[in-house]
Amino acid sequence: MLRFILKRLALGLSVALTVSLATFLLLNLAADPAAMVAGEDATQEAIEQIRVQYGFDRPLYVRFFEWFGSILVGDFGDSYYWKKPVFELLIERAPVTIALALGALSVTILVGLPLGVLAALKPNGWLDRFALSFGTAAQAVPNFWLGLILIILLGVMFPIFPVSGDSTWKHFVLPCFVLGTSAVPQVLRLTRTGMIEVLGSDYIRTARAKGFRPSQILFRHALRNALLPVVSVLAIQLGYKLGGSVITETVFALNGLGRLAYESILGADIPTVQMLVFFFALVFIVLTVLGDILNAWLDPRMRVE
Amino acid sequence: MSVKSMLLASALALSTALPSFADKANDTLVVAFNKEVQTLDGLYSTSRENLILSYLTSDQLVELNLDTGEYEGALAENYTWVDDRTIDFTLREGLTFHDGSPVTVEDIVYSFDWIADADSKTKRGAFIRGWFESAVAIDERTVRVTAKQPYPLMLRDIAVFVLTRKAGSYGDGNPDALTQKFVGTGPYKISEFAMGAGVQLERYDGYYAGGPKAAGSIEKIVLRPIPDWGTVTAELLSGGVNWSFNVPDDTAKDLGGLPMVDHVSGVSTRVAFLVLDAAGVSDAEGPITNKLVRQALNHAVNREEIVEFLVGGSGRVVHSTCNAGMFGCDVEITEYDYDPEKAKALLAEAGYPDGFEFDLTAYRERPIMEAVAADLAEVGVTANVNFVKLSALSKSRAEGQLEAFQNAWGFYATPDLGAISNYYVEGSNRNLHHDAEVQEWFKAALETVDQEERAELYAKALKKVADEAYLLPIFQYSQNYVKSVDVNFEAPADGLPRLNELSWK
Repeated sequence: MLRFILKRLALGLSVALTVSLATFLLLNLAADPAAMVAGEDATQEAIEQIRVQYGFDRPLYVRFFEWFGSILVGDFGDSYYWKKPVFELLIERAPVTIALALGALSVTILVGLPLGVLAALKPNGWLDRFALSFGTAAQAVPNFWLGLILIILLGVMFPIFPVSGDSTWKHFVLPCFVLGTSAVPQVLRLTRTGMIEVLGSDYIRTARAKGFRPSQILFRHALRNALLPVVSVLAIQLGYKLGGSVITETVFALNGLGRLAYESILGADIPTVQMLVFFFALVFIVLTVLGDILNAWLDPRMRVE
Repeated sequence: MSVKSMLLASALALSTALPSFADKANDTLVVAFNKEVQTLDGLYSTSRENLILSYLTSDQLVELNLDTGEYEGALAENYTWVDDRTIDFTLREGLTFHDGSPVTVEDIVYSFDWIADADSKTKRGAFIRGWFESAVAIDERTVRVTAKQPYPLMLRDIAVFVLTRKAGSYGDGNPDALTQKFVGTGPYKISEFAMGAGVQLERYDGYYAGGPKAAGSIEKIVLRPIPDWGTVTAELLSGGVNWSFNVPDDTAKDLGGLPMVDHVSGVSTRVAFLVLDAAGVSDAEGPITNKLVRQALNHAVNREEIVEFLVGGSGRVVHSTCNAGMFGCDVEITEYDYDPEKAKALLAEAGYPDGFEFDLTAYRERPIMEAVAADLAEVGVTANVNFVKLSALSKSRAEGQLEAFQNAWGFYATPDLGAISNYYVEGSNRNLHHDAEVQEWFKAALETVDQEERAELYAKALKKVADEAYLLPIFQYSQNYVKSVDVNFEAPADGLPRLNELSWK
């Protein structure tokens, strides 16, 4: 098992580095980074000065190896715009994104799982129909639209929650709901399908025949098995959310990694973009591996394999 | 980083986030910026947001009086031209920085030297290095600034680019020293700054009276980055934001219809135009090198409709790279009215009766660029609008690859044609006409302080540029502001909002 995890992590690290290399090349070849950093009304002299100052006048391969050498010793460089180490930027902005991601995942779990279970109890019943309709609606609604509607309803008409910002826990309620809702349909359907399949299996019938309580059958025997694919999906969803929810963070003016990534891309802040891409790739890989481990814990058969 | 430390950092970040109570009762004005303020030091950013912030926190020796067009003493009580390249500035008495320390001539000299030093890497230095020779303290209140040669925009450059810094502010030469902790001289001082979260300012009660810049009326101003206009709208409706600028025209109009919001429309100094490769830098035999073709392109674009339907607000049609009231622009030039038939005739005369195809590189206002392309298509000219990032445009321009490119020049809010010289002088890659006379006239205008002579030189240059149709001027931008109804605000004539002048009704 340990060997399997290490192998996956090493593979993931190489993926992260490849992604970073691609980002480095794209950012440097697509445009003139000196002009991007200098801004719209900059003089030619200012652009040339920045070219020398940031070393954009040196060959691309020299800059690549220099950057690669630095990240090997944990130095991701300084942001051109924010004038500080990009790692510090990441640490500063990450808390908001982590809070948002965990909050959103909680919404997904708290809404998606129970609805999926309830829907599976009586397939094609009214509750099932309601859950599926809810899932379809949640999938169809774009994030930015739902965000704005909630802002109008609960921020302006009935001012229960603040409209934007991230200074209190109340600021996170609406964005977490918006971001969490988008993943509900997937979790709901997977839970429902898994539960219907498991509840129809022989060992559940046996458990019923032995006289176990319905709640015992549902939670101890059925749900545990039905959850296996859901866990993998949740791990990926957490990755998406930690990877910076650009739209949600923009609509609610949250000062997280998604917005940082967006601004860095617009401003050609190459070190920050590279650091973020590397970080997002790493988050995905680690979460996927964690999802596998969790699955192995839930299903002993996987451990044997 | 462990989960525990992440959570700790999270709690810390939440507890230090900027509060924002937009409220007359709290005497706190909350301003929504579409872009973030990345540094408190205006010497290191040229963004409009930073210009607005710098106006609040920094002062210069002189300040432009928008009514008279003259530069008045600001930190300087007065100034005297010693000769055509030397000015003596006499400091006011009792000036202080936000930390209470006095503003001295040493601070002024330090500011000039720091900005002019190429190693300081300021974004303002490039503008003054061309003319600045020295700044010397003559006595306890007088600083003498000398130019290498007569330079007409000396006062303008000092007013716009030489922000006063306390001597030693940058230590041994650290350009980032004031990025997050800033001590200035303006009517407002920084009380809090959290990157990405915004800036909180407090009125500086020690601000000097009697200068051209008004002391603050409102006690606190919070500058909050809110990137989405829908969210800004909701904040205005719920009372979370009092003022914003750079608002898209349709959003501003919608908001203006609400009872709690006012829409204020004003002009911007920014002018939109196309630069045409008349000199054949990208293609020596290209159709655009033909004067008749360039005149045809100018006749083909319906500027009036673009302004009416796409620019809106206070936008205006322009026929040169000038905006109303700007020095050097009071001149009659050839104006190309919208006349597609004439455009077709000119194209036929030039040998292109069936039109031609060219690449138009653009980077902003896509709908307007598409409208221009559609107008050109009406006369048989196919403009392939190549929409790229500004940096990609700059790269191609530096490599001499552009047949025509879009530009929007802001003049640094300076009402003087000299501020756009880089489209006309020799050696600049923004100059695609290479006209020896125009280049010489613009150069001469930058080397004399005789305003009459300058005006004449600019008049000759602008006339020739228009006759030869080297450019395709389109419009002057509109600037839309929105504000809550309880705030007093008037649109500034130069497009630079001065938040210290805002007050409660």
